Amino acid sequence: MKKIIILFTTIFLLSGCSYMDLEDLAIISAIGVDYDNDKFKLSAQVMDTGQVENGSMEEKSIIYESEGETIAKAIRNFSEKYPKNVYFGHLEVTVLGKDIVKNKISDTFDYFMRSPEVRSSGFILISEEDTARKILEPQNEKPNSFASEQLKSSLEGATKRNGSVNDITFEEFLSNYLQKGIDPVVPLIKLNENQSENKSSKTTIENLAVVKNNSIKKSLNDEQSIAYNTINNKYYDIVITPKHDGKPFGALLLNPKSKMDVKIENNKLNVNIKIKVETKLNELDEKIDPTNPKIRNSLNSEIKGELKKYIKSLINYCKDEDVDVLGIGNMIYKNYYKDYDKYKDKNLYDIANFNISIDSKMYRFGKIRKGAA
Amino acid sequence: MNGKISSGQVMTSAVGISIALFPGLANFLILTTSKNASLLSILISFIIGFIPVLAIIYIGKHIKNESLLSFLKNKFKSFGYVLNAFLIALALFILFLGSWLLFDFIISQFLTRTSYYLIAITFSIIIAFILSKEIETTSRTIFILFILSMIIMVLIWICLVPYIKLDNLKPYIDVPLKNILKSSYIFLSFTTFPLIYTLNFKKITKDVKNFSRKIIVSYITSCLILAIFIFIIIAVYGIDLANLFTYPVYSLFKKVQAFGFIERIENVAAIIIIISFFTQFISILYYIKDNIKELFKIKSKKKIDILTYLLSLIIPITSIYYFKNFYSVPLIEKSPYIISTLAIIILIIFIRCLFIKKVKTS
Repeated sequence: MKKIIILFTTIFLLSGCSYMDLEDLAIISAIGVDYDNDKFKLSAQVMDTGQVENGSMEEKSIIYESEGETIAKAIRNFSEKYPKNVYFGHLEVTVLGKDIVKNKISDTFDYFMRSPEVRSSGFILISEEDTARKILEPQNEKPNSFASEQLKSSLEGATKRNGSVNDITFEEFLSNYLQKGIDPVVPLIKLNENQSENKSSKTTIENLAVVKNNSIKKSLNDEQSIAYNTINNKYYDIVITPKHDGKPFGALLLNPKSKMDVKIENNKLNVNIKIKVETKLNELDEKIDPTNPKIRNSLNSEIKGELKKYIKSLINYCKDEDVDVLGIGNMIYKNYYKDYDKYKDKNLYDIANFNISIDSKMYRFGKIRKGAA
Repeated sequence: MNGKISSGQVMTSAVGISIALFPGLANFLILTTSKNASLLSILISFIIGFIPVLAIIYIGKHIKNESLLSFLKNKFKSFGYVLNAFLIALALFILFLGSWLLFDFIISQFLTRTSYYLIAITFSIIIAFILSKEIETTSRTIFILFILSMIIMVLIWICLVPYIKLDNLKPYIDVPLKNILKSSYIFLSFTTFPLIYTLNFKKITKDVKNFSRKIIVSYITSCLILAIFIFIIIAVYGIDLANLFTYPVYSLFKKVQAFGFIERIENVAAIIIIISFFTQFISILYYIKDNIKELFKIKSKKKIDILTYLLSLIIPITSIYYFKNFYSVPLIEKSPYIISTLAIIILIIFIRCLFIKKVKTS
């Protein structure tokens, strides 16, 4: 009898807490955070399911909007306008609008890290020119489109196959943001101006912005972003276009395996960047014959030269903007802890001696061995 | 049923007792105090920790076929009651703190809209039910749960290997020596001193010859488990991010992803935290239950069961009441010092008395 009483009591007590039907939840897959008139303005992309005339279910994306003095209050204010309870367990993308970037970038982190419901593995994007609301707005001609899915897949695709951006999760960004001696990067997103004319995607994710002292610095260009991603081993394969005899050719860089280390010898700061990359020719001028060893070596040198040019451009950018995207300061902190204070306020890219070595192995030419035309 | 348990089962209880306070409190305190040097502080603590562990074993060698309370009464006469009062106070404090840490973890992380009291009642019913059973059943339950949590733990460690960045461990020492020693003291307080309650199992251990060896093995196992978790936390998150989390171990569970389909398993993995709490609560409450039985000379099983039910309900509820109504941070932060002060007093008195008696008899 005792067992039965305990069993029943436990069954009732463990029957689930705060139960809620799925249709009562507004599952948020992307959230935009803007800041205007001392208030946070949130735009949440919610998947809305409903029956259409033929009885089938239709999914469409709608935007919930609210505002408040804090992000937490703004989230609670969703309930004033919308009947469903917002749920952040599937948040995939966070877009920070232009005003939040200028005013309150660090304030946005606390809520998203503190709330147990929000997963910090979602991606983060920054819009320098537009509000996050505009970025997340569904396209008029494609009402069933989901901005979050498009943003996520373009971000992942661009990172793996283009090298000009970097898919950074909220957690990774915050980790770099909190560490000493490194300025985190974050991908930029902007609206396409001619999107309605050519029916292309509404937004473009391009380049990386650098966050320093709660503000956004000038963004990295394509070449600098490729250099950053090569040094950080962040892509699978990307195409660069070096020149041979003044004519551009397509070279595919695969699986970079880079290492960077810092050495302080006789008060001199040496930064060694070693890049190991496989390369493949994927577009050539008709007159170039890669089967000729001399030409092949020359092509390989040009690929290395091109990559070196990108890296030097990145170093110059860091020097000019006084930012540390490669985390040289962080390496000094980790490896020369006692010397860190000596270097922490200096422009390290100005005083460091960079040794760049690139090991490129070219052994793939595609389906044909010579220029086709 | 012969009312006896194996030394292996004692070992699982000892591991549970040692690690239970870590996920909710000690990990956080250690990481914030000694930062990247946490592993070094654990190593120091591990070595120093052998002193109290060997002291506990030394006391254990004097306990023959009797409970801890009987041993105290027989050896120290009326002074034994004073020592027992200290042991009870320490036990109640550990349970009081552990209950709050577990319920607060559950409510802040997954059952955010549930009442603390409802969860406390649910846990109490289960704990009281387990304790009302024979010690063999209880120990076997703990043993099975321990094996289950070890399997989950190892799988989680394997799944987290790809996220480990050894670079995050640098600089290996980034805090003054004072902080490292403070952190070692915190580690020592939570892992070694609660092991004193395993002495109560000695009279019911089948293979009593292995008792001391199993206590040492359980101490090494606990330290190893905790060191691996601290290592993974720092290596995965980096110390700056890790220091933000109240429950760094649970945050690690959120990161687990494997084979493209194993993900979002944090709530399943949280069973490790819950099992260690269960083990600690049951093992220590068993000592209090024995005390009540002997002190009040209660022989009726029904009466003992009712008292156990009440005790397993009163401790969590008073804990919730206290921590909800009073500012709890100072008590939580001072908890390692409270535990260690009580435990050191107990151990010193024990050893001194035993040693004096030995000298007198020789």
